[in-house]
Amino acid sequence: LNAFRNGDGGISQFTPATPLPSGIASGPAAWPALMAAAQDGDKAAYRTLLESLLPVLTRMVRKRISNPALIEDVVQDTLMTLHRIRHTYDPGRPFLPWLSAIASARAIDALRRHGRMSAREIHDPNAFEAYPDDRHSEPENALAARGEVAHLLATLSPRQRRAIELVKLHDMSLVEAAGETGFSIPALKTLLHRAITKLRSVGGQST
Amino acid sequence: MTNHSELIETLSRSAEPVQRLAPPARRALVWFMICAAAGWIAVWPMRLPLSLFGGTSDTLSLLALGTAILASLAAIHAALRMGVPGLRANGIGFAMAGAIAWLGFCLAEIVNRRWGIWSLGEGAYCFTFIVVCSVPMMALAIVALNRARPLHPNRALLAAGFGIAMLAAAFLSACHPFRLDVVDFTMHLAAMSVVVAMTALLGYRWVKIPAGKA
Repeated sequence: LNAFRNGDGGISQFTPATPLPSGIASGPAAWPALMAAAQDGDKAAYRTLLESLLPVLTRMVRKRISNPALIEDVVQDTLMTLHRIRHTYDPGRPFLPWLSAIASARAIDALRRHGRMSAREIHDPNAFEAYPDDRHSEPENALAARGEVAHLLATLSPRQRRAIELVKLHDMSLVEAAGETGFSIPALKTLLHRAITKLRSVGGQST
Repeated sequence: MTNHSELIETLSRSAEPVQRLAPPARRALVWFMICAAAGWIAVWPMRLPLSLFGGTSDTLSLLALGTAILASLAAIHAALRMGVPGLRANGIGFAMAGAIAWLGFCLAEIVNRRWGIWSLGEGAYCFTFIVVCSVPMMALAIVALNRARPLHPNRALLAAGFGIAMLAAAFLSACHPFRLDVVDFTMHLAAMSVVVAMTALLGYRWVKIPAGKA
């Protein structure tokens, strides 16, 4: 992939980094053939397909969701769902309705989750420090001693990692971190929440 | 490298050949035949005589049986279509219409025959019959939907459960002396509701798309 995202987080012109399979173009007309090849195990065709779908998927998701951080999560969720159920695509049928149904379902799920979280959960970053869970202090220290914190941070997306670094490691306030990154405070809160959830799940698996 | 490109790289590296799903209509037909056999075998030890062509059969019983089978097929077809993103669940309306017709035929039987309205009749036995008959069909439905991994697992499972319940009711009406009373029929409906709920509850874990990366 050459670069879908420019410095502002926007989508740049698509240029496939991988050579296309012989005789197959990369435009929308080629998607059914690329998916059929991917179903047969052609990794290059699959990569080309996913790369060419990325801008389309982002546009589809952006129609439903306005939060930039959530859009990225939903696009990734859609790509993973597409991967898991790629066997359900019938090359004899149009590709776009199939893709659109997946993106739409994932976007709606994300909005529901987001709505539930907003309605029922209070995001309080200070609570993590004010009310530490002593039961887990020793495993966390052991984890740090093994140098796995860096590994855990590497599992985060660049934006999530940046948010954690500024707020948690550099002790910046949300306002300062928002000014530093250019994110809005709600977007920063969302990033922090998702990052901490992900760190917990990854940390839980590795301990 | 951006976050998306890492994911695309991971996904494309793990892209092994997959077996495509057969068209939903063909899968529904195969599923229906296997389920019919499995359901029949499951209730075989209950030794209910096949009474459809015995002395108790009449137009109402045949109509109820026919509409239950059609509603079942339509619901199963709809459930399997739900496993393919972008396809509309066309059969649901037909299944609901079939179920309403079936309900109408059964109520007509209750009103016309005037059996002992509040007698328990064979209600408990019928409840057991429907549930026992449905268990292997539920397992087969979950296996079929597990392969497709529908985007909306609850809807697909509810449709499949409805199809299973209607098929079990059809089996019961083939073996049941068509002599419904209110309590007996209520037990049929209760058993069918249990089957739909059990299919949705037991199947969700196996049918939903698992979270996490490739």
